[in-house]
Amino acid sequence: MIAPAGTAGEGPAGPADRSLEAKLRRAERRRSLKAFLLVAPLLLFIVVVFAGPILSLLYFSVDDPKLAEVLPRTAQTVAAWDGAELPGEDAYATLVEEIRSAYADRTVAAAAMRLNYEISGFRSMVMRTGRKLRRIAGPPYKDALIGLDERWGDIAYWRAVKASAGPYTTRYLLAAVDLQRQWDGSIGTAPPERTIYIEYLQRTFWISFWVLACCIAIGYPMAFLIATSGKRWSRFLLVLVLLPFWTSLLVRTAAWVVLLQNKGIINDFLLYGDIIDEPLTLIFNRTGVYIAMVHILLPFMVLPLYAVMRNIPASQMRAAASLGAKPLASFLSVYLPQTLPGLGAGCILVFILALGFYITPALIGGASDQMLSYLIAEFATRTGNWGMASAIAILLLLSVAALYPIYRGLVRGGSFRLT
Amino acid sequence: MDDEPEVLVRFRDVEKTYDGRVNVVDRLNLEICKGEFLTLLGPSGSGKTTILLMLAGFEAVTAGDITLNHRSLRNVPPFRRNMGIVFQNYALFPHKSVFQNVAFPLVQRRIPRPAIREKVEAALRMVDLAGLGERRPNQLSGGQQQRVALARALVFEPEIVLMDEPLGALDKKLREQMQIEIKHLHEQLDMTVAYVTHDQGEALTMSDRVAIMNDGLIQQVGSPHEVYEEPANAFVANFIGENNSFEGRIESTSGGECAVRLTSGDTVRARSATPRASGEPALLSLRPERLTIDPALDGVANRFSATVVEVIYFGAHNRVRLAMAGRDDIIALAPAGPRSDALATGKTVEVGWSPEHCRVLAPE
Amino acid sequence: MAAPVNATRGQHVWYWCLRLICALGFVFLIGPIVVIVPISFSSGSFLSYPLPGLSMRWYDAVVEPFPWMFALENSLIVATTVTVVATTLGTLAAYGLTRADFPGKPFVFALLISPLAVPLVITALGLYFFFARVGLVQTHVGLIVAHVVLAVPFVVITVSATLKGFDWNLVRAAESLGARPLAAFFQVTLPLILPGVLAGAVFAFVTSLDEVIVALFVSGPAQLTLPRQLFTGLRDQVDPSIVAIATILIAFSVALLIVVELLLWRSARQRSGKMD
Repeated sequence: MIAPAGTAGEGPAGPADRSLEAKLRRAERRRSLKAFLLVAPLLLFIVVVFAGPILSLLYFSVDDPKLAEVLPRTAQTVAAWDGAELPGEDAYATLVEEIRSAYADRTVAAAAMRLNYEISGFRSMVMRTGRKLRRIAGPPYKDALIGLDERWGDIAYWRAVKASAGPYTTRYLLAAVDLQRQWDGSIGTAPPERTIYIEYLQRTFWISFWVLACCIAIGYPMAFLIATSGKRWSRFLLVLVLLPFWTSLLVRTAAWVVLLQNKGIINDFLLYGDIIDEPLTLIFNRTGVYIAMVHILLPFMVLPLYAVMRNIPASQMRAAASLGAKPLASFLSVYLPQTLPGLGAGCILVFILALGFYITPALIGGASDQMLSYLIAEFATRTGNWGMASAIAILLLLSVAALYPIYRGLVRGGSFRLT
Repeated sequence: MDDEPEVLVRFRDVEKTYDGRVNVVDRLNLEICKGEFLTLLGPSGSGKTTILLMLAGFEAVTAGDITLNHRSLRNVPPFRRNMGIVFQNYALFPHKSVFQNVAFPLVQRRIPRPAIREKVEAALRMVDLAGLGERRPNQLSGGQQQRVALARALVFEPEIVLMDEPLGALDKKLREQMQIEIKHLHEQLDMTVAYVTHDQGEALTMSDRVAIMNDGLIQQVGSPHEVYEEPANAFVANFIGENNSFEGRIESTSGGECAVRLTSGDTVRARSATPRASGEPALLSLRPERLTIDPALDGVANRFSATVVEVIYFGAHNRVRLAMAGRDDIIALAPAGPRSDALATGKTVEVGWSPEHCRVLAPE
Repeated sequence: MAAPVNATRGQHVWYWCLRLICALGFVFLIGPIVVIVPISFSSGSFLSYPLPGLSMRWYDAVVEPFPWMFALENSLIVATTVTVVATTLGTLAAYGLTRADFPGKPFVFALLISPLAVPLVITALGLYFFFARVGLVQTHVGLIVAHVVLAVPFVVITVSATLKGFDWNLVRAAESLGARPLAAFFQVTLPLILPGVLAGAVFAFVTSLDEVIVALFVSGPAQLTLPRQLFTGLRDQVDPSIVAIATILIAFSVALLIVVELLLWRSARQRSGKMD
């Protein structure tokens, strides 16, 4: 039986072929759909519980409803006011009336808190005004209010009210980069007592950078040693890296607290050996933060490097040497380029993780060693300033997002090994 | 095969395409008879494995139909097809013992325990693995793993056994040994086998029939003898065995024999399976072992003088490269002996072959 | 790194320098963890050597119902639930991601593992605002949901990696031998990827057990976990009872490390067994 001769169908795509193509595509789509349905539960979960809330930070960073909720008509009045001169009697009348009722139903504190973000001391000023308001019997309210607290006659305070009128504001985002909007709408530098955020950002990057540099300097030789040792040694050394990796971050931080204290093990040891005369200050300063962070992040540098290095045959360096390359030259031209994927993965991991550090600086660092995460936690949990917390979170997130595409490529490239 | 073999599997106008444009299998019409050992032979990418996967139910048939015992296999899932498959890398379950691997199809069929034990042990004895049931697959050698895969595919007495390059991972010696064992099993058990390979030697030694595939099309189906001695076209002639080919034009025909004038001007007498017309371009195919050096004078219609270009020692025979009829790549096999030992590079010799061993084919 | 033969003097110096750096590196990594262990058995309350004597008094403090045992119980409840939920969701998703292509698959994968790349404080902040609106702040459910977010990428990554090396011919073989798709999954696929799934589960468990930042944001006193109590203890008053609990946790890490190494070793052995 001989099949009729002819070339395997590469004929022109007729109508029959096109319906066939459609059929094949449908079958393919069914397969895809089945696979997607398995992914769907987790995808939905991550979108609702993770991606959604992270995106909502954008909203919270511009959301500014407090004043408009508590003092709605005042908010309207000041929004219409041009801010050039003190507002008129109407505005004072509205303000008095609204503070009076808000003070009575105890909602005024939220608005006072919001105003305090603009000028510190505004909160207590509003609360005191609320308390004394019963002394004002009738118009003219302007004079009466200024009589109560002369700051109500200061245009800066009224401009602060205008800036807080909401419902949306750019003040948090601007403040996160040490800027503020002036009363006339232009953007200028924030007053010196509030220009702390850029410093925090710089410090965060600075600390992360030095931690990364230390991790490379120590981690690269370590990974090389593990990768090129004999089987038993390599196994043993790897365990020495994996054990800290598996140990709780808090346990490791606790260990450093114990070691670094003024009456801790390191100082006692150095004093006992007459190496120093007075205890060194190792904790609650930058040195302690660097030591503990490098300790915690070092495995993240060693493990990806090792994963790449163990696949580089020893014969390659020998080949380079036999071809006349000096040790440094053969390292730079043969070995180093092949370890770049692992080095890249390690750097990205260490740097991204370092940018987000909170626990270790909080426990081992001093006041001037805190990073952006600390600010976010402070604003969110201690002062309840959601807007400021969100704005700084976005600042931090953007810093990480700039590195994310590299991170993703490396994870998919497979040089990221978990153990 | 008996005079009226019963058809077990029939491919009817089967086509397969993945993208709707290029057919990886095209207009396939093929029958596999009960008890037959049929081999699909072809280079990689010729579509032979796709045919096996369609038969097993792992690939959808784009057009046409496959029947088993005259019943369409359309919409029959793999696990209901009752076909034993031996995969290229065996696909033994690494987490199960040899015994559990072989018992797997029986467990799926809810066969009672004592019967399972009996059948599995019989199957393991059959492939000479009695007593190794408790081992894990990775504790076995390649050949032993191959036998386990075989036992697993046979133990549930499937309608047909499909083998996809089952010996590809073994070394040469083991491969030849397994070829013979599989052939013996086939004869003993009277089973039907569809076998896929790209190794022509394997196809010729094991099969009842060979189907030669290229570019998704069957080129020729026939007994090993037929496809070797009477190739249907140039592809088959070149793919199976070694082949010398000459180009030329038909000069005259009489009966099944043609006179062909080669491009060098020489004339060769050869046989043609199909009628040819004078003036038609033709390709001549001649197996090296049919080309005799210093032929005896009688019964050899084609005689030429040739120059020895190269002699390569192969033990039992010498491979001799000759320059003749305007070419210098004509191969002849000379049996070891005083005459062929005397062959030396540069020497002029008489060569010849009889017309019945030289086939006229259509040029590619 | 074998000692150089036929080397120049400079090479020898450099070789020993590198060895020294490495030795210091390993001491630096493992030293602090080893050094604090004996302090937990001190009879005194100073956190230094020499120990005045040995006693178990700090372990007695640890086994008091409050706060350590209460925190431990909470941690175990949360971590166990997180492990079950994250492993199930993550394994399903990894299986779907390897079985077929669908539009946007690389993006979906990136999204599923993105909680690993976002700083914990930001995740904590987002979850805090979200939970505040849906009433999950200071609840066990909220803490569990939050930890599943953080744990699930580890499961997706480990199970995906295991599936990448999986020989799908085995599933075909099972089906050709008469196994239905579901039977083939449970009898062939699952047993073979189980080491990867279990490794993912261990990662999920450890992630939850070790997590403190999100817990600080979203949980209340009733959800006090071990890391939160450690954090509070370290901030307020460091005494040897903290070192005692740290020692217990170190012992636990050692045990887990052994378990995971065994799992990965088995998985690798099975895979290499298939190859030859």
